Amino acid sequence: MEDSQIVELYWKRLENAISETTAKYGKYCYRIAHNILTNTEDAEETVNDTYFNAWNAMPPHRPDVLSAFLGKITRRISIDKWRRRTAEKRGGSETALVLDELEDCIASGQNVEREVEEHELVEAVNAFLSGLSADVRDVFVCRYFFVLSINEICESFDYSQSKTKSMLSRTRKNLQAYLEKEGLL
Amino acid sequence: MRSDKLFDAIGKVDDRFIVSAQSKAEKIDRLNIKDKTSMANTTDHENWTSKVKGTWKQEKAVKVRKEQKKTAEIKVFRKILPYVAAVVILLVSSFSVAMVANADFREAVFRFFHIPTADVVLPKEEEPVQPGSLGDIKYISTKKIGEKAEVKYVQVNGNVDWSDGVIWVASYEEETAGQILGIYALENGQLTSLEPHTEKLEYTWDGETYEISFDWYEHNGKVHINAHEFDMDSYKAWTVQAGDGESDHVIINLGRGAQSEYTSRPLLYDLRTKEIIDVLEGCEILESQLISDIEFSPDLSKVLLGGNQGPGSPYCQYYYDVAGKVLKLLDELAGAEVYDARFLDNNIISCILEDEDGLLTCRSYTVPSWEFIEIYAGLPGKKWNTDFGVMSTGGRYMLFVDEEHNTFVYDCKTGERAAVEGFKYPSGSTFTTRNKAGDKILFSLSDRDAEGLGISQIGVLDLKKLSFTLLDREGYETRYETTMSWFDNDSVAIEACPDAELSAGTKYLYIYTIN
Repeated sequence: MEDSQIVELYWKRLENAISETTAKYGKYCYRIAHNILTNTEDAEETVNDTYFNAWNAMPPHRPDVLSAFLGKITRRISIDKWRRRTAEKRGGSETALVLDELEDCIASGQNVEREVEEHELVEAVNAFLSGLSADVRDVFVCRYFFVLSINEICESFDYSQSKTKSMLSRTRKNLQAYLEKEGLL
Repeated sequence: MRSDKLFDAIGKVDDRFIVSAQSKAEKIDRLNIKDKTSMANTTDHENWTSKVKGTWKQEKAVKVRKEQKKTAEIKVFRKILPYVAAVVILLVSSFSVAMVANADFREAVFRFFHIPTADVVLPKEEEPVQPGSLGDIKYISTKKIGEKAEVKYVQVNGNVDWSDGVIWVASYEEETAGQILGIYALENGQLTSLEPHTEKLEYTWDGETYEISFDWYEHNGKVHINAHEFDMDSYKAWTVQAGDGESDHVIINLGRGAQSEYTSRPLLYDLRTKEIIDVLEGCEILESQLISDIEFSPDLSKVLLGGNQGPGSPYCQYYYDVAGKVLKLLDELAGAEVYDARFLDNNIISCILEDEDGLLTCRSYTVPSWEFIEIYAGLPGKKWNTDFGVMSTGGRYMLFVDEEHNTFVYDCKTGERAAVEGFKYPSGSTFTTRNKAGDKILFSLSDRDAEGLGISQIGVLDLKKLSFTLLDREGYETRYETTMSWFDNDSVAIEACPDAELSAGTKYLYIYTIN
């Protein structure tokens, strides 16, 4: 079924919106959740929560790209769940590694803590990503949005581990410089 | 700032970045989307005039949508390749033989034409000097391809989109991304710039004031517009769109609330007199409904509405004559639950009824006599996990595939049925995209090894002429082909870039007309 038809089902409040979403995007949502949570039961629960959130959001929302819309919801719920589950103890999962890597981007020499509005940060990240080449940007999003492992990224892009790691490291440094320039660090 | 905050912000990046990375990750099946069989959908494409709207953020969002659409289309094309290939082969083999009408087929037969001359895409050495500045657009040439086809070439420096025969050019530069640089009509090898008309109005609905600002364009008596705004904080939304006819009125739809509490209010706005007509004013039954679906007749004199009284109450569909204030509950009229309804013209409404077993019946009602003809009865709807059933093409014609995969075409206006003899509908595929009028269906074949779409064949199934015409293409790798969809009701456009770097620079449109 076409995405626009699935969205119409949500707008008509027909319950088969969920079954059609499951048929088309169930696996996709599960993958995102499992990448972050590394737990089958939690991932399945997250996917169900994703459908519930989508159901509550449409209408009035009419997503242009249903996969991205569902992906964002799944990722947000997964991260919330991961945070609740791990509480203060981190480590041992891809998500923890990703968060550690992102520390590189926010380590500020000036050590001045500024409370940044989230929308400012999102706009800055969008602007930064817009300036990257497609491959560098895709690798960055695979790692820090989809939380794919380095090995999975290497396989996807046919890059070596060292190339992938160095690409990500360089991008993080550039992002840090960009955020500093924008006065966000 | 903690890394969590940055991690959360990355979770809200533009959809186009997500879709792009997703397509890469699919290679290893980590994010593979099953059953992604749809092609470019007309609804998205019809929304292009939303780009005319206001602020930088909105324009940027529009650009994002455009990029998303391209990426999605590319991905989808790739996923349907095996199916489309099978379809074209089957069609060629089935239409190549003389087709014989069955008992229900009347006198018409589908005829197959395979254009003997292949189109050779404009070679690079024949390109004109590239447009020097952002926003430039240039008609290059028209080339005849045999007796039944032609292609027009257009070169653009900027982001490009199209709908209803009109080409829209926008900025790709970071500071002005999405900003409209020009809208052009293409006729007889001439590009005509269309001037925007700006409208600003206010309307108060149930105590809430909506401030609405939009641009519209006019060409050959037809208004081009599709603007919208949605405020996530207040859950207030509005959309503006032109009707299908040549009326001076445009449709404004106000919305508020979320999901089961969402409701909308249709208005008609006269571009000449600036008069606003509240379509539901005075209709107490409809005013008490939470309206979620609205479809106007082509002349905007009547409307089909869907809604309910609130959470848990049944969904109902109504017909309403705006001027005559005549209201009909479609379920009562049909004596059964109406699953779907749409206007076939100003006076004919096609209703799909669903029985307890989920089987569908199609009736076409004539207004105001409410006499009807039954188009079909007791047929299953095609579901995502079945290969048979009724498929809407979104217009006057419907396709039906039986369990043996035989394919039939229903004319929902006349009740006639045509059988496509010898044609077996391939398993697991949804391979079509219709034009806006719903009377032609586009097929295409992509070269799996090509960079980009690499469209090697274009086929048009003409449901009025009952013909299928197939055109071969060569040199499709000359440029990186990114998007393909209907340009207008008779032509199909392919967008191509000089290379795989899609975001900026010169673009080409190949606009094919196949008769």
